[in-house]
Amino acid sequence: MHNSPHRINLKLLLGAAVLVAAALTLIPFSSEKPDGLEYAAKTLHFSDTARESPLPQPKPTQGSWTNRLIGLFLVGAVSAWLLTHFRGRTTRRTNSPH
Amino acid sequence: MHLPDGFLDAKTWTGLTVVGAGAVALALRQLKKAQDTGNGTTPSTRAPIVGLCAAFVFAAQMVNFPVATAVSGHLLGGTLLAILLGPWMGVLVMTAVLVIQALLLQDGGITALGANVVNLAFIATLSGYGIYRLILGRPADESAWSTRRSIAIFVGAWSSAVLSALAAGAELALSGVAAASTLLSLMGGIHALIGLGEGLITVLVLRYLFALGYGTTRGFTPALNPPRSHA
Repeated sequence: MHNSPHRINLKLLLGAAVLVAAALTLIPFSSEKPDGLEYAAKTLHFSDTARESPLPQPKPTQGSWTNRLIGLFLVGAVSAWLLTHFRGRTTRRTNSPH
Repeated sequence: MHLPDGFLDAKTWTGLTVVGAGAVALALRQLKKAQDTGNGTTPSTRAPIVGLCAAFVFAAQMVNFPVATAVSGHLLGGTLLAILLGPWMGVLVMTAVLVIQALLLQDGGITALGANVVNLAFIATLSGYGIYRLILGRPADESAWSTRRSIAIFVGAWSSAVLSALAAGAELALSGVAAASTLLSLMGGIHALIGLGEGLITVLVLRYLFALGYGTTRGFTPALNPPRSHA
C-alpha cells in the first residue's frame, strides 16, 4: 500500500472520524472516580484549595454537549489551520522552478 | 491531570505562565525554521485528518478509564500528536487543546494554563516523542510497522504520563501544598498506572491509523523525514 502524502486519503479521513465518534460515544461511560491529580489532592488534603477562576469565564457549563462540540470543532479547525499555515511556504517553494 | 486554579501559588503559576509562553514561542520558532529550510512538518493535504486527530485527543481527554479501585485516568495524547504531526506541531496543537478546554469546559484553570501547557503540551509531548525516537532508533524501513515501533510508542507514551505528573508534583511542592517527596511519589505512582492506559491507547490508535495508510509513506516521523518527492 503506497499512499501519497500529497493526496487526501478518504479511507484515513473516515477512519479518523470514526475515532472521534468512538471517543464521543464513550464520554457518557467515563469513570466517575477521581483522576490521578484529584486523588492526590484528596489524599494529601489540598483539594479544598481549588477555587473558581479569578478571571471572567463563561458560566459553568462543564459537561455541556454544546461546549464539547464547539470545542471539538475549534480544536480541529485550529490544528488544521496550523498545519496548513506552516506547510504553505514550503509547498510553494518546492513547487517553484528554483 | 489538568491543574485547576488555586492549587499553585502566585509565584509558581506566574513563573510557569512565562515558561509556558516561552515554550509556545520556541515551538513556533522551530516550525518557522523548519518551514524556511524546507523541512516542513506534514503535507497540507493531511490538514483534515490532522484536525480530526486533534479533535480525537480533545474528546478522548473527556473519557476517564478506571485505574485500580479508587482512581481513574484519561489519555493525555501528547505522544500521539507528536508522532503523528512532529514534536513541535504536537506542542502547538496540544496547547490549543488546553486553551479551549480551559475556556469552554473549565477543565484546567486559567491561572494554571501556563503550568498545564508546560506539563501537558511541552514536557509530555516532547519527552514522549524523544523516548519514542530513542527506542525506535533508525529502522531499516521507516514505513513498516514493527514490534519495536509498538514498544517505542508504548514506552514513550507511558513515560510522558509519568514525567508530566512528576512535573505537576514538583510545581505543587513549590507551591507548598505538601512535601515534595510525598507529592512526587504519589503522583508518580498513580500515573505509572495511568500511563499503562496511555501507552496502550496510543499504540492502538497509531496502529489503526497506520493500517489505514497514515504512515505508509513516511513512517511516523514527518518532522525528521520531510516529504520532498514533489520538488
